[in-house]
Amino acid sequence: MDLDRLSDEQLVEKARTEPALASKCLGVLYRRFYPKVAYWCLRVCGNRDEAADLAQEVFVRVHSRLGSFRGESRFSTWLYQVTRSVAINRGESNRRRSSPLTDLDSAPEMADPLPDAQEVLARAEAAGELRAAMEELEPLEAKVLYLHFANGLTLPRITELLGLDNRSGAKAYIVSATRKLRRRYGLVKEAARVAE
Amino acid sequence: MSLSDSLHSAWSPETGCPSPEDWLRLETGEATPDERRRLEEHASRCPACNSEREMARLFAEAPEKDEDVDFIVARLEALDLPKQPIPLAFPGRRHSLVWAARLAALIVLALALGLFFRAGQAPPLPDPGAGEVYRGAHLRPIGPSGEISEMPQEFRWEGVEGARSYRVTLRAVDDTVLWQETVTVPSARLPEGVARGLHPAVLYRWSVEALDERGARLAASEPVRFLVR
Repeated sequence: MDLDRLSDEQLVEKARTEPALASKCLGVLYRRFYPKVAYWCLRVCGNRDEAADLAQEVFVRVHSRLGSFRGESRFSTWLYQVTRSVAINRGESNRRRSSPLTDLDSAPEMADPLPDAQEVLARAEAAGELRAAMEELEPLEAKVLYLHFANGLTLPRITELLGLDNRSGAKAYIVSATRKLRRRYGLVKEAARVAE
Repeated sequence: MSLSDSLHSAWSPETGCPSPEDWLRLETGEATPDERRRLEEHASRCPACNSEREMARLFAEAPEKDEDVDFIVARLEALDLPKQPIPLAFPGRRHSLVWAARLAALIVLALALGLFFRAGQAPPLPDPGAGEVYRGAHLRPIGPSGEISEMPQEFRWEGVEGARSYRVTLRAVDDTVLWQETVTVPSARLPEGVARGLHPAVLYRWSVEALDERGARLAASEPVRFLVR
């Protein structure tokens, strides 16, 4: 049988129902998606060693969770869910290990010390507050903030991805966004003190 | 909850935003014209979804052939995953001994956990007074809890005054979210599709949050562990 002619979902089903063919089916299936996941990881990480680690983690997760794929969506959609989730978890732990803004050269035009955007956002943890806070930002500021803190992308990656051609790239947007959020939360705190 | 989780839950299908999979369907051209219009319109006014769309676009793009991609693909090939033991849900005679050994280990784990649950009952939470505001407090789950004989069909907890909705989350031991649903009553039925994916002798955890009208959290339960014998 020519397994290459089967759809992704048919390959999973065949692997599930015909154990003798499982290894071959999964070989065909995974090889179809290796370049796509490799390319995505490369664009998200920027560094091929890091991207290779991420891609390996993705496929190890895919293989171990394949039993939970029930064919209710396309395999590629499920694969994207897994890929995105592994990348976010990895980005989050990388970001925790290092200061979010240490991966760019200093921006001399910034008068303030580098703000701790994470702290400011953490104060607005409740969903409603977070949305209200982000709505006050310029769309590009909010987009950069979300890509960095929610999707775990580094600032140089975001600069490249969004084609930002200003001098300090994504960093400038994080800095200005945080200033605005600080101003807002400073005012909220002040108002709360007066109300007490 | 991590900052990343907070950001994701603030812009999620539960708060009216499309899911990451919707953005992928848009970028792969699978969305219908109506969906396309709706998604394009949403992206134009929602920077968070605009970012999700960016991530999906990268996945939908045809990969460029270059030596870095080849390098990563070679690393993936080297894993030789298809020859690794097939996941549990895949029946396979070749691996029957391996799985028998794993099953035995799970049974031992289940027995140990059974002892643990019997020995370590958490003390009951104090009853809040009438009209008391629960902001920041814990809410009390009712069940399922501990070692049970059948797959749970429903999750129940005590209602919280002032709550407009409850978000219940079921997680695997490694913290992967298996199911999450927001309901307006203090109980939620486990969808059959999710229940089918749960395995006996495996530990799961669930928790519930009470939310106000803006989606802000009023109270949260401690995670509750359960295991089906």
